[in-house]
Amino acid sequence: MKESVSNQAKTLYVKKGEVSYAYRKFGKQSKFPLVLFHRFRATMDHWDPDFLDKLAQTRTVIIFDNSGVARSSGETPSSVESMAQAASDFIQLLDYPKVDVLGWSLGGFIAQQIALDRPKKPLTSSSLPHQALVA
Amino acid sequence: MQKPNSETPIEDLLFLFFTESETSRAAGMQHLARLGKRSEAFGPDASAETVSAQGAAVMSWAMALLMHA
Repeated sequence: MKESVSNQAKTLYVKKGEVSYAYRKFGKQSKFPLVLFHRFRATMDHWDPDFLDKLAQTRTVIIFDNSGVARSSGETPSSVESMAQAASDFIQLLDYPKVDVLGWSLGGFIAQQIALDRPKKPLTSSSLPHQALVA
Repeated sequence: MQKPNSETPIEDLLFLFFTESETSRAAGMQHLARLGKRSEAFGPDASAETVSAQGAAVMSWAMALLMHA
């Protein structure tokens, strides 16, 4: 079986102020990376490796734990706006002129908030649980 | 089908992100089997404090949406 590029990526860290962000970067070299935002209750380990590997065939993919989540230090904010700010801080540390963002569930809210705060034509995508309103 | 309940994480995930069909549930189980292949996977999980803060963020986001609906 072919090795998974996302599973082989090492966990790296970048720091801003009190927050050390854990992330992984992998995939084909591309001018702009695709940064993925994890869902409610999840960590970057919850992304399906098959999904990540597929994305990584055509571009650089970056996954991370947002502020206060799992391997990242700091506090988890209690608003989407502050989570988007923390995610933006992380993205700035990566030092790319532009990135595309994609989020899953809560991560999708954050992606949309970033699109509102920093309207530089980011790609955003959100998935809402199909029965979320039933819960 | 059971509604989300923190005591049943696998059922919760299938409920939230997959449909009730056998095909969809089987795809959900295959998805779960692919997770955690890294030796260091799920070292730390999201803490109770994190989940609580995220829950508050989701609720205020949902309330804002309802206000603008």
